[in-house]
Amino acid sequence: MRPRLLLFAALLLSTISTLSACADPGPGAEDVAGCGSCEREVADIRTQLEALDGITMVKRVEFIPESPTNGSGVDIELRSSQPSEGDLASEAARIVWQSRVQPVEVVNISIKLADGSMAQLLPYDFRETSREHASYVEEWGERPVE
Amino acid sequence: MTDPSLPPIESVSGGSHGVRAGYEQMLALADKYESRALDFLEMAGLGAKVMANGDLLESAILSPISFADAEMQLLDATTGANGLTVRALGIEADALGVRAVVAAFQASDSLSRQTMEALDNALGKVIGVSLPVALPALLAAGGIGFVYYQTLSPGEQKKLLSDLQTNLGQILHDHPELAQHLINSGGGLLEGLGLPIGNLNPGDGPIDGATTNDAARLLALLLGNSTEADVDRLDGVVPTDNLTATPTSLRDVMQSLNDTNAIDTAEPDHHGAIQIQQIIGEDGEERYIVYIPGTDDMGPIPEDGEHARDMETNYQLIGGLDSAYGNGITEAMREAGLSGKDVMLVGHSQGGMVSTSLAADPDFAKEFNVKHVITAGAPTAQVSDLPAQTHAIHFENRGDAVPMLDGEDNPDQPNRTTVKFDQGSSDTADNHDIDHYVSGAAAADASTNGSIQSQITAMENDGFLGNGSVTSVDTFQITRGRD
Repeated sequence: MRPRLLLFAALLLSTISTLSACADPGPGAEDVAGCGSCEREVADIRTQLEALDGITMVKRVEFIPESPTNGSGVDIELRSSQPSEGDLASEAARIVWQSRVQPVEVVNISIKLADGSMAQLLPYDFRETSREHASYVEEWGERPVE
Repeated sequence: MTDPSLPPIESVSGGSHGVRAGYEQMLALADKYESRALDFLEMAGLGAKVMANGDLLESAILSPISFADAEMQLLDATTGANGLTVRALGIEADALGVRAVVAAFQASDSLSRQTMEALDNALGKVIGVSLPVALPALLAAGGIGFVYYQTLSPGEQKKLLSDLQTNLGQILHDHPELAQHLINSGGGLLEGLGLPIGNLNPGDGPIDGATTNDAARLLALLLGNSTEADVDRLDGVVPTDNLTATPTSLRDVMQSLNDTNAIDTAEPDHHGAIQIQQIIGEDGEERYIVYIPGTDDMGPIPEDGEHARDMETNYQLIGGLDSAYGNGITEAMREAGLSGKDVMLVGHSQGGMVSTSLAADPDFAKEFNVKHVITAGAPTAQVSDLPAQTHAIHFENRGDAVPMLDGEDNPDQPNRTTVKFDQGSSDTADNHDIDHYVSGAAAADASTNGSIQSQITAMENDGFLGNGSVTSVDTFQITRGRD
């Protein structure tokens, strides 16, 4: 019975490890140095967002570190004087792409429009595995940080 | 301008246009056939009553030829070859035929499920029995592999691990059914190792043998199976604009869940945070949406004994047991005044599991009127039946391993729709991230699928989408109870 118990313990650990893989940062993630809490980089992003036309308020710019349920990235909340978002979201995403915040896997942008409704936006997926990654590189160039 | 695109929806099962809803529609048709057959038989009986009428019989003496003609036509219309009685029998036969077809399909579905469960259980047993025999060879192979790994440079080691992870992730993305069968063999595997896991099987599964749910129950018991929770109101959390705006779409709801999920990511001390959004409808009625994020602590050993969203809760939920997180959510809802109110539960990962589990709990459903459940990246098949008054929509991203942990497809119920979309890659961990589910929900908003649109319409009609205004957002923290 002892070998069976040993085997079970190994199996239990491997099961838990498999399930724990959800918390794994993913291939190559350990290569990323990152910018820590990224306070200076986030402040730079905020300054550039405030300069965009049609922005009445930059409510929140926050670096979100990786967790078991979300990728690392930047969350942005904007308020606009315009009735539609136009290309504000794209501009905000470009600012993050060209910033020195690292690692950035996803950018969540929320824009409250002039009538109080929320623009229907999708997250910007900056992961290399993303279907849009190549088009981001083509339009905005390589990210300034590895 | 580069904008993100909607992921493709791969499949939609269950719901108002699902297979079981089709069965129910066929049975309703059979009911109508039977009702019409009974009407015909009643009308045929009426013909005989007419012929037996005394006044009519007396008139036969005055006009025997006309009477005979009338009698013949009436008999032909009622009991003749093309009469009502024959037609009633034909319609009754059609009704029986429809019922027989539905019964055959249902038996086939049930047999298919039992067969797959039995096969998966047997597969697990074979592996379990073989493991002790193969252990020396496996250890030898592992030792050789480890020695080889040690000879590699740090860079090569990293590349090897990365390649291995990518390849496994690609297999999971390309063949999700394979992973599901392997997970579903978990119960048989433990049985094959000779563990008395059968004692944990309450007999509620589709087969007599142990299932993955029984294995999860064992793991929950090994980790302590504690269910005590502490609930505290977090007053300092400023709700995001998404949460203070009236939700108008599935995307809006999922984006708000993302924001709730970020509370403890940005502020780790706020682990276990959930948010409750109060909406006052145009009819003056209160409705509530409860946003329930997923696992904070993925470590096999609890981080500090405080996190309620940990692996112990995951095993409890897959095993169909009560959990500290579930009890804490119930208490928070009670404290926020939701008893007797219409509510919608929205959960990601573990949050989706606990949402579905609570909605199916008779005591919970008695206290809170759960109208809708939305889950993202959550295994939910362990909850086999949701009450008819509760609608649920389950989102699953291709390549996300977490929704597969129940080991089987979600049940096909008319009030329960499963939407599978593809924004997955070879990176299994990334596939589970909540941002993919914001995109998946937006894809569902744009879909013309009948089951999805029925769910959205029900949410609109029940006042949860595009109706009224948000009047408050409360944040609660749920932690493990301190003895």
